Amino acid sequence: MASEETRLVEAGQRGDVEAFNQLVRLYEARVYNLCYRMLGDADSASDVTQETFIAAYRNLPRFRGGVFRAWLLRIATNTCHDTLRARKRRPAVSLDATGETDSGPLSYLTDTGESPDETALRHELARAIEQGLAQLPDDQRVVVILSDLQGLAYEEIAEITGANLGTVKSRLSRGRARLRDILRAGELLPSKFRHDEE
Amino acid sequence: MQPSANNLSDSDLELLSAYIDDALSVAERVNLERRLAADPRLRAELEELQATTRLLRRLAPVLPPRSFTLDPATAPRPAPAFRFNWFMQLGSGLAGLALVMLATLQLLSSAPGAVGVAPAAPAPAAIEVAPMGAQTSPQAEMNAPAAGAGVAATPEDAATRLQATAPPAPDTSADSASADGARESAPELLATAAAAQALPAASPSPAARPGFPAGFTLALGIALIALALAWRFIGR
Repeated sequence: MASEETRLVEAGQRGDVEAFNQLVRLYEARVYNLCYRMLGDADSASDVTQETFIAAYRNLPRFRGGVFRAWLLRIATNTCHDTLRARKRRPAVSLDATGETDSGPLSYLTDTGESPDETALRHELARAIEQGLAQLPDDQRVVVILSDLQGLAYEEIAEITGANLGTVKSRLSRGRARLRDILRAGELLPSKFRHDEE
Repeated sequence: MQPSANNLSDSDLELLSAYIDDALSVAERVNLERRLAADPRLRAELEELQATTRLLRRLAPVLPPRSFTLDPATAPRPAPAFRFNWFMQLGSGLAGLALVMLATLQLLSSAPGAVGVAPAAPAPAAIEVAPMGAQTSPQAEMNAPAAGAGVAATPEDAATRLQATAPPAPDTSADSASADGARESAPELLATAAAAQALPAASPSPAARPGFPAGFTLALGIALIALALAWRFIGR
């Protein structure tokens, strides 16, 4: 797998667009999800995802080995930060709109074989988490997304965010605690979700 | 709503967070578990953080609305990895050209008629200050007796010879040194020596050092030009 990826990267470095497109297919869902959770709306996430792959292709000759996924996600993270900074300069789109737009793909907590009540609760919680994520500071949000939504290890998160391991751990703990506070304040951390899955 | 348990220190929060990820050392974990067993408030905090993390991890990924593959027709060209390619090509080509010109000069000045008039003794000053640059150079041998004997036919002639000997010195200090030597032994060539000194070190290549035949210089020059062309057309 890794050697196939290396081959595709090398072909892409020589200007083989089709080889690079295979890498795009491999990682587009992951990149899009990171952008969507960071930016909070589908249109911006699409734009930034496309920008990420264009920038990655253009800069591919400068990729000097290492973990391609981390390199790619670093470009995506930086592009998201640029977009968020631009937004702060001229605030037009609110992150709080997350999950409430028609164009945004709603995500749900995964489960099967549940009652309608449980489904409704699940949707409510999913929405609450999306809104809670949107309220986190950018540097904490990206670490929480990479760790808890994308399942990456601390070391890879450090590589992606350009922070050291201690900073990653600290941002993650503060991000989780803050999210917990947000959920608790909205009474969205019912005891059911605290104790029934132990 | 749970009673607030917000007054945990940052370090305790970090410990609980790392505990959830199973990222504590054995000693840290044992110590924390002992504290958890004794402190219900810490335990409640851990349970809430675990519930939050669990909710996050169960959030299903969203489906991308479209494909993000690049269109080969409009994809941007990858930036070159090494931006000095053109510089290397140009430099190599120019160096090759300079060597070819130098070899031509060498060949011309060692043509029959110019050779043979020089007996042995090179200019003493040249030996002293620029042994590498001038001591054994055939051109120096040709010029020195001519200058010492004051038989340089015309200033133009002398100038030509000095120009031919100027490049061999590998750096400008040796250059001026050999020019100084020429100045001492041949006062009548002061003006032309100054002119030679003013010449930039056009080709500081070691190939121009004494002992390298003109043929070698020529071959090296051609090889450098060929390398520059190959780099341009094949190397990409």
